Amino acid sequence: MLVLDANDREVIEACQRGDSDAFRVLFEAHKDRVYSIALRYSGDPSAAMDIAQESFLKVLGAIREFRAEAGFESWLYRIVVNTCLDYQRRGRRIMPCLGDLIEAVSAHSETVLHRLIRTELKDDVQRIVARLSPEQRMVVVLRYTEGLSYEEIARILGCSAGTVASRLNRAHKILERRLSHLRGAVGNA
Amino acid sequence: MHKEWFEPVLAHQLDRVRAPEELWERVRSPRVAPRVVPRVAKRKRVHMSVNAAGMSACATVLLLGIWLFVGRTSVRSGDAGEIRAFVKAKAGIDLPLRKQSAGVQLTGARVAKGSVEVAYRVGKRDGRLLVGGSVASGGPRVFTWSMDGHTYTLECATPEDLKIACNLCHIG
Repeated sequence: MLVLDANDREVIEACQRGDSDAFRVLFEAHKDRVYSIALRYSGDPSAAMDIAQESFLKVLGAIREFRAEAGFESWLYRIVVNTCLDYQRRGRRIMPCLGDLIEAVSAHSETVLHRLIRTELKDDVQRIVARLSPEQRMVVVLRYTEGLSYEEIARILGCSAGTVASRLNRAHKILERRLSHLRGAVGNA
Repeated sequence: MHKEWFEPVLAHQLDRVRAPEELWERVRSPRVAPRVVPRVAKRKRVHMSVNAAGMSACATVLLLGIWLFVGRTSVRSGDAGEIRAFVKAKAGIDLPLRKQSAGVQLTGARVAKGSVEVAYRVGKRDGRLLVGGSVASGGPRVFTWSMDGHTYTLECATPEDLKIACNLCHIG
């Protein structure tokens, strides 16, 4: 799935020549992918917009350096992943703080937390994922949002498939524990 | 471990979403810039806290620079430290210019009423970093953002120069 077809190649070559219409085509083809990774990673729509914008500006600025023999999607994924991690390093995170807050609240009022979980299942899963370490979270996002294989994720992150498996395994253990209260509700959802 | 039950939950809850329509506007005309933070400045703070002697030396150089620049409204220089000190002295704005910026060369700075203009070159093409003042019309060669109460505008000769010009303050 990470291989360019003839049309993609033409579009990219046009982008490399500075064709703004071609860049719009490229943007339209990949905007949902880029925004989704940013949103699932950051857990915050505003942050996701910043990350997606910055990612596409990086693509625009570096498209001439892209070599056709390399997979465009892998290249794009690397840009988005690095932008997400840069964003994280700058300390601009929201959801993990929210998660910590909820955790503090839950210590005093378990029923409040459970009510919240029942009514906002999606937000809650997002929050729990957002509390994973950046490396684990990125692996989870690439695996479940993008449906990538371990090998593809490894190529994007520049690590071994074994490292991906290890991070995912650790993330699974954490997620299973934190999502355990949803187990009964999943069947009813 | 029985992960089977929550894997479909993750796949469903973390599924792909549609990007908002305004994303294209933000990419096409980045008037609302991504929140750029000068990473280099943070690293310097750590370094200087470790090295007190270095800090006092830098302070001396800075003060000397301020003293030298009093009364001048422009400076022609390719030295980031000199330009930074000049702008700091004349406008009170601390620009985190890097001493060595890949692909971009500083050429000088000018301070006018309420605005600062830092000139640079990318190859043989001139560009400007404006702080405050009137903002040029938008487009792929202009990049504007706000930080610490100031409006910053990068003007470049070509869209490709924008990325290179970011190296003035950031590691590319």
